[in-house]
Amino acid sequence: MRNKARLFTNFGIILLVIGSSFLAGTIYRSTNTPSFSIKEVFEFPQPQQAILEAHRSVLTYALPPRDLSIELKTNATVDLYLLDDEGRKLWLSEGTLKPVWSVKNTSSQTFTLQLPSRGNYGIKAFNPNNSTVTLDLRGQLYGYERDLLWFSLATTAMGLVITAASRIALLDRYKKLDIPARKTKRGLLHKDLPANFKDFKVKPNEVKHTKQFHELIAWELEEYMAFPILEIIIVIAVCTVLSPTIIETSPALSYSNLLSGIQTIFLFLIFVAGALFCHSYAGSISKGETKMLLSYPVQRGHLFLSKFIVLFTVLFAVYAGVFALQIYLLALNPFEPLFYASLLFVALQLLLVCAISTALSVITKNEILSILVSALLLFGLENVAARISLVSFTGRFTTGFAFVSQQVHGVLPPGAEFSAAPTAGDALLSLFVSIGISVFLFVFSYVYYTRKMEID
Amino acid sequence: MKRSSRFFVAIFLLGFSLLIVTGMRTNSAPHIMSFGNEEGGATAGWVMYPDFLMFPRDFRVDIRANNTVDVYILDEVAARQWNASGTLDAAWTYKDIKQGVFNEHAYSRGAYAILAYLPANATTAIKITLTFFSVEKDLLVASLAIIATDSIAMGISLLIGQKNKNIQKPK
Repeated sequence: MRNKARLFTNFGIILLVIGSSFLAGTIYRSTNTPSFSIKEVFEFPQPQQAILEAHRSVLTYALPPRDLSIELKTNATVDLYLLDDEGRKLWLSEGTLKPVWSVKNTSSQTFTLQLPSRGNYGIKAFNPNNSTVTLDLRGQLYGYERDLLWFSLATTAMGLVITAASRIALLDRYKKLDIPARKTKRGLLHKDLPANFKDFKVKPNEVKHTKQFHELIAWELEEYMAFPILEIIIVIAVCTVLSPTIIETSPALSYSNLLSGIQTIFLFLIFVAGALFCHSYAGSISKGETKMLLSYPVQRGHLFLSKFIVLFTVLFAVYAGVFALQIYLLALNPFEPLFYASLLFVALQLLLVCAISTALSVITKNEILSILVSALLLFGLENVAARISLVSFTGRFTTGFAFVSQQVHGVLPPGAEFSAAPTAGDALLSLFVSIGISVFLFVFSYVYYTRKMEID
Repeated sequence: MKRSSRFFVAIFLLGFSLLIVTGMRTNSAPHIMSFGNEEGGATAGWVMYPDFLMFPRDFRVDIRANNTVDVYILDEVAARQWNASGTLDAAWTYKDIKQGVFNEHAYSRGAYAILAYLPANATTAIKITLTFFSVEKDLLVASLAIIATDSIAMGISLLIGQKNKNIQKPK
């Protein structure tokens, strides 16, 4: 019964995480307000030359279920129709008009409507006048994508309900059997430490550094990659890396799609890496774990390095593994240099995030404070700095990517916002800025942790 | 949580994430591609349009011309063969077409090209529109396969564990 309740709790937590991730994604997507515009001149009667855009043509857009504002400017009255996918097919095949929204005899006006579902929508305009009409139509999407919003709220609510119900059932059972509730936080009791530490013996004449280091690494893996941390990292990596828009359909330039959505990838990576490192360093200090570990003959340097190596390696391995799927999904050549360049740049930016979070954690020694400060600092830089600025992660990645693309393929990638190719100086600067700051902060943190930091 | 259970949960979540991504990619992958000679392309004879990436989805081919044409959709190998030796081995063939709409399904991911034959003794205007819809089938199959295999494996390991527990329990 206890196991079932725990299973339900874990299931509820997973649902909660998925729902929250979707909610965050939905809120983030709502900040993007894409627009489209149509400018047409309707002549009446229609010209006689063969036109391939037959009178049944419909301008089609793939639209999500958001609010749509249509601003119409004409010099006379027109009829305007919005067709969903079914309506479009009906119009193209039979010429029957079945719009989801329509307005007749309208001139310059702004309309607001709600798109009912996600899909392809067609805009059709008719000129009922016996004269030439100039039409200027601008559509803009805003608001939340309702399907994503409902899904995320429903999943979050289900997760909350299941977690709460299973926790209540678990607590009730503990009360009935008079069993003390299991501590959710690892306390100061030495019995919470893993078994391998009980076997650890100090040999007076020979300290086995390597074995100690390996044991520390194993412990860090078990402690800080416990369920559901690794699972959350996998879900976030898959959802952010594999979902960005395909911006280039030419197979020769398919590598440019590696640039698409990179800012979203970095934003989530910053959040995950920052939280994980702060939890590991500052969290273990504030909970007293570090003090307890150091009461054993464990070297501070080994403890510091084991945390850094484990967390960085796992994060990079997960992201690199998911990135590798892009070779298949984008039909890339397995030896495409830009794929490996992308991996290198992602590794460097990840290293920088890890170094910054580590430095903040060892200085503040407070988990919540270090997470907040690193998130504000890194998110702020990422959002305020321009996409091609060397201050932001996206800017450094884009600069390096564009430079390598220019050198290898002779063209700038379509997704990069450069008017001219970045120079070798810019590319090297983007590379060495990341390496330089990372190394400096790493060395600073290491020296501070091993020689200066007081653990109370 | 036991290591084996954790492994199964991690694999399940990997499959589930891929399933979510498959759904999200219906909007992030291209929907419509158009080819033709509206902007000053060739109007007679054999014409090969720029190659493009296609994913294993359902798509609709809309061919409109003011003359009878032949249209072929070639995969990467067939396109190379055509360029090298003129041998035609199309994945999809539409012969003697003036206007038509066809629903097809792409089975593999990769580069494709459109080849058209426009009548040699006339000036032909042609437009070929490919409209893509539905999910990428390979991703869908992969994610469902991972989830199914993992669920079966997890079920079997739970059953084996339960059986061993029953055997060890003293009667």
